[in-house]
Amino acid sequence: MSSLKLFLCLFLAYCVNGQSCIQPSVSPSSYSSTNQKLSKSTAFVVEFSLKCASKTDNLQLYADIDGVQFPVTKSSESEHYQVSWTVKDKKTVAHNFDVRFFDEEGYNNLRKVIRSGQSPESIKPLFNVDFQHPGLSSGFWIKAEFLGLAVAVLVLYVVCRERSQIIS
Amino acid sequence: MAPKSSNFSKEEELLLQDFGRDLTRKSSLIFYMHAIFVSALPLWLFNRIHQMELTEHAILFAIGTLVSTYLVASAYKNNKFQLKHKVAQKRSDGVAAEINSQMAENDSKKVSKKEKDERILWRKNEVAEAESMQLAVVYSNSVFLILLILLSFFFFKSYSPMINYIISMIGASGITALLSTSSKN
Amino acid sequence: MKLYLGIVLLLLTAFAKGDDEKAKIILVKRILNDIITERNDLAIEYNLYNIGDGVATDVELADSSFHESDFELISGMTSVKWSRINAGSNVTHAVVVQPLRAGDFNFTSAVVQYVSEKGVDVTFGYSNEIGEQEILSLKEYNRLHASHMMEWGLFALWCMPSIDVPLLLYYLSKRKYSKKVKKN
Repeated sequence: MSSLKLFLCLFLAYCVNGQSCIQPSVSPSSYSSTNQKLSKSTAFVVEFSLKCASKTDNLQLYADIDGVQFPVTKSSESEHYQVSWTVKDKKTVAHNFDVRFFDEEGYNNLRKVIRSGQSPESIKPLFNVDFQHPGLSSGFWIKAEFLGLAVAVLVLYVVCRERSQIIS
Repeated sequence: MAPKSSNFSKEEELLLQDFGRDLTRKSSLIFYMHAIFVSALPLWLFNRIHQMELTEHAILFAIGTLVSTYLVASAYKNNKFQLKHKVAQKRSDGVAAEINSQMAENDSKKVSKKEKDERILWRKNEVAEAESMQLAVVYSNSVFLILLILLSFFFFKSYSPMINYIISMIGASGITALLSTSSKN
Repeated sequence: MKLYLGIVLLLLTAFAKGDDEKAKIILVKRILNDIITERNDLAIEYNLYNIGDGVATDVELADSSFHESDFELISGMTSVKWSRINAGSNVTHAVVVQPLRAGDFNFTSAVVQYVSEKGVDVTFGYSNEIGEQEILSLKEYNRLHASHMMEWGLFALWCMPSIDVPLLLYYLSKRKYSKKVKKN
């Protein structure tokens, strides 16, 4: 009984400390660059507002995306969070990202697991967000005016051949 | 550029030449219609791709189209004149065969050789006129369009749309006309 | 390039200083776009490097240069905070906006505030100024960069009567008179 009480107290203390989130409810939105003509780099942004059953004053979240960890930043005013990353000067292809979010403890565990060479999948995230990147598109690989020029050259060639036949 | 082995007399040749210089009214009309059509074609490109509003640049477009029409029409005339004689030579056998077969059909009265030759000459003139016109139109149009594409979308692509239009149209039609006056090939 | 040289120099001076555990944050603001046009996405990247020896706490980044009258916020937040940035590490932040008007725009600095040492007042830092950049009008952008396949296709269509019809007539006539020669 006493050990259970102790456990409960510790647990509550942990929650009141604000370092973890119980029953997270997330409403995410995401963005990724898709127009290669505007920019050769791709920006990825995942935003969400988070509601927890517990207090979240000191909550520091970390995101794990394809094996790379990023700290999650929080809005100065509201309960809105954002994680963003960029890929520079490389054409990014369509990819389905599984963004896993961890609290401080989960993040430390994740780091330990990675250092020891085990699979990072074993650590369960607090929650995760899926988002689909459609890929950086640059349109058709050949420019329309080159095509137009090619057709015009073809026509001119045929016509010139006829003409030289006559003139010769 | 001396004419090759010709099997008609000097005066017949002269006749043919004369026919070539002056344009009949019908030919003139056809030429001007083709010229104005081909000069108006680039307007589509300039409106849609260079984003030039038709109403905004109406005066510029009208002047450009008219100048280009005149230059392209003169290119047609010169090209046709160059070609007509040669076409006539090439088609002379074919026309002779056609007239002969026609004569053979109406074999009721005997036609004098002179009349037959006259008919052949006349028909040859007709055919040469038509073919040289078609070929001149096609050739000049192709040259004009290719020059227009090169000037407007490659060399002067980054210039302001108005300058682009003026240079491309006058350049393309001017060079087409110039090429037609030189007796190359 | 100059920017990164500057950062390296700062890093060197930082290491040349004393060894009290102070944090120092460098904020670098970058425009990711090659071309900026109105009503098309513009992505801005913020990099915060902690080149000091200590942990920076209560790091807040704020960029107020994107007024609602000039830009529409598409994604990301312009006022964010991190609870800590360790010594020697860096974080990235991205914001995506859409300019509402074409013309030249002066992109100014963003501000970062942080606590470099326990018990010390908040330190402020400013990012680099990007300066004046041209925002292309949508018209100009379409003129230079949009694919115009449809327009060229239709143009080819309009050209056809003026080239194909005379060519066809010529070929017909040519064939007719060449045949007659062959027949005989």
